[in-house]
Order: sequence, then C-alpha cells, then structure tokens
Amino acid sequence: MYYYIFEPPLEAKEYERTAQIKEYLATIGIAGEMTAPTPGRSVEDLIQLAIGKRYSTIIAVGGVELINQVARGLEPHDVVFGIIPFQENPDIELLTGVSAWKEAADALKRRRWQPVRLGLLNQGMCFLTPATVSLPDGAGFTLVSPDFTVKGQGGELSITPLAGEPGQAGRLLIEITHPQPKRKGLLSGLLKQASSLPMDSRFEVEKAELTTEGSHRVMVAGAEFCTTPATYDTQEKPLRLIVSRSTAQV
Amino acid sequence: MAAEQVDTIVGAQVELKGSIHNPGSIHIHGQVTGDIVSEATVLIGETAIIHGPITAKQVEVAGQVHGSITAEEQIELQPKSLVKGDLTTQRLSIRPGAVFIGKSQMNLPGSEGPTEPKKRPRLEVE
Repeated sequence: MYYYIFEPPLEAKEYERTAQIKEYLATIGIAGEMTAPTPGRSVEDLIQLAIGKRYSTIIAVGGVELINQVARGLEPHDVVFGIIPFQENPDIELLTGVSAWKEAADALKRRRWQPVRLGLLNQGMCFLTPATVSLPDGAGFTLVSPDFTVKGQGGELSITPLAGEPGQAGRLLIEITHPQPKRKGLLSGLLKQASSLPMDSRFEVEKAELTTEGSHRVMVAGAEFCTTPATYDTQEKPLRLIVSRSTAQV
Repeated sequence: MAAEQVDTIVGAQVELKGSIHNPGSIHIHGQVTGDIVSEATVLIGETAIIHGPITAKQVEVAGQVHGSITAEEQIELQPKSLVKGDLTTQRLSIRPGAVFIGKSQMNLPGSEGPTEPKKRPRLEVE
C-alpha cells in the first residue's frame, strides 16, 4: 500500500488536478492513504505517521518544493520514495525518467526503483533538485573539489546530486551557464564574437566548496537555503526512488 | 541537445587547476593547468590553453597545449593550434597552419592477434 502526501490545492484548477490524480490512481489500482500537510500537521509529521503505520512506499504529489521536503524527511528511513509532479519539470524528469503526472503514476504501479543520493548543503540541508547560485557579471567564484579548483566569473551555478552506480560514491553534477543577453544596436556586431564563445561548463565532482565575491543566495526549488560560501556533498545512504522502466536499475 | 553526450566541459574564461579524469568525452575551451585523462575523446577548443599532459583515445587540438599528448588511436592538430610537447599515437594528422614543437612517436596498434592484419601507423601532414 502506498502513502501519498499531496500538496494542498490553493485554487480551483489545482483542486481539479488533485481530484484527477486521485481518480487515476484508483483506476490503475494503487490508491492508498492520501494525505496533505496542514498548518497543524507538517510534512515531517505525516512521514512519521506513515512510518508508524509501516508504509513501505511514500509518494510526494506536488511541486518541487514539496518533493524536496518529502525527500529530506525520508532520508533517515528505509522506505521507497515516489514522485508525481504537478507540472512537467526537467529536473524531475532527469531523476525519474518521467515528465507528466500520468506517466509518473504509471511508473509507481511498476515500483521499479534506483538508488539516488540526496545532495547535502553545508553538511546539514538535503536537496534532491538542483541547488543554484546566480552571480552577476564580473562576480568571481572559486569552486574547490578534491580533484581540481575552478575559477570563473558570473553566470548561474547549478549543483545536482546524481543517481550514480550502486555501491559507488555519490557524485554531484556542476553546471555553469551564462545566459546570452539580447543586445540591439551598434554594439551587437562588436559583441557578437564575444557572446559566441563557448562559455558554459559542466563537470562532475564528489564534493565541492563554493566561495564567491560577496555573499549570494543558494536556492533550491525557489526557496533560499543558505548563502555562499557553501559546501556541497552527497548523503552516504541513498534513497530508493521510483523511476521509469527505462531508467530503472533495480 | 548535442548528438554526443559530453561529460566534462570547461567553458571559456574558466580556469581549472588540478586533474580531470573522466571515462567520457572532455571538451576544454578555458585554461587548464594539470593533467587531462579520458577513455574517449578530448577536444581542445580554439580558446583553450592547456599546461599539462593529455591522455585519451582520440585528441583534437584547435587551441594551445603545453605538454605531451598520448592518444591510443588518433591525434589531430587543427589550423591555428599550437602544441609544445611530444605526441604519441597510432594516427597523427597535422593541418596546415598548425604549430607543433616536439617529437612524435607512432605506435603500432596494440591488438596484434594472429587473425588481425597488422596496421601501419599513419601520419598525415598537409
């Protein structure tokens, strides 16, 4: 039996979508206990209730903020974690191999999972979807990992925990992107050459320490987690995440 | 999405000091001081400056490399590239305009089984 934690609907459209998902879960035969956090009952409280009732599969149904919250709460427990995203999200798709909520529900029925390590910020805060830092042009940064040190300026730094191979150390994917500004007028020709430089970077590390010129916000799923300087690592114990048939290793 | 999945990319205006070891492809457009090791292809872009040795299956250089390059299969030096260091590979291609200062050593293919015909090392200079 599955234990579902739904994001509380706030408007009519969301009520309708929640009802559709519940109906579909019942249709495909995986309707379990369905709950939602309230002001008096947090996501963590719901997870404790589910563990107390011996549910072995807990599903987060909602946006990336709720999905991260449930993932963090499940980290110490030995349960299987499932996701039904309200909206298509590339980060969730990267993790689970599914994009739409119906596909995600179908994947839950098959219950194929793979180990995924949560990212760990400043040795305390867990994250499943990317932790990002936006730097203004010219703001320098230094990223130190066990293998190398990277220095650069500006751009958006995104750090995502990777699924990794079973039995191997956790890895973090670091992506540094520089959105190309749209320029018009006389300068555009002169700036064309500079803007066509391959500026973006991408590499994997086991852990990293990020320092920046000035303090900048580290964001996860739209919420501020901390400010730089920050350390990034992965949890030792992986979470068992339900994924699509093509993504599954188990 | 690019046709080839590149595991590691070092962008232009990024400086990296240390070792890059990756089983997949590595593309460098910035500055690297240290060794680069890949089981696939290493591409050194026009804006890249490397100080250190490179070891890979195939290496293509369009920028600057100050260090040795060892490629199991092939090394290609593009026009405007600059390499100061020794090259070791089976196939070497140096395009017009490339600058190469060093020694080159052409290795015979490692697989010399009785059924396989012996390949000759190949050097192309245009």
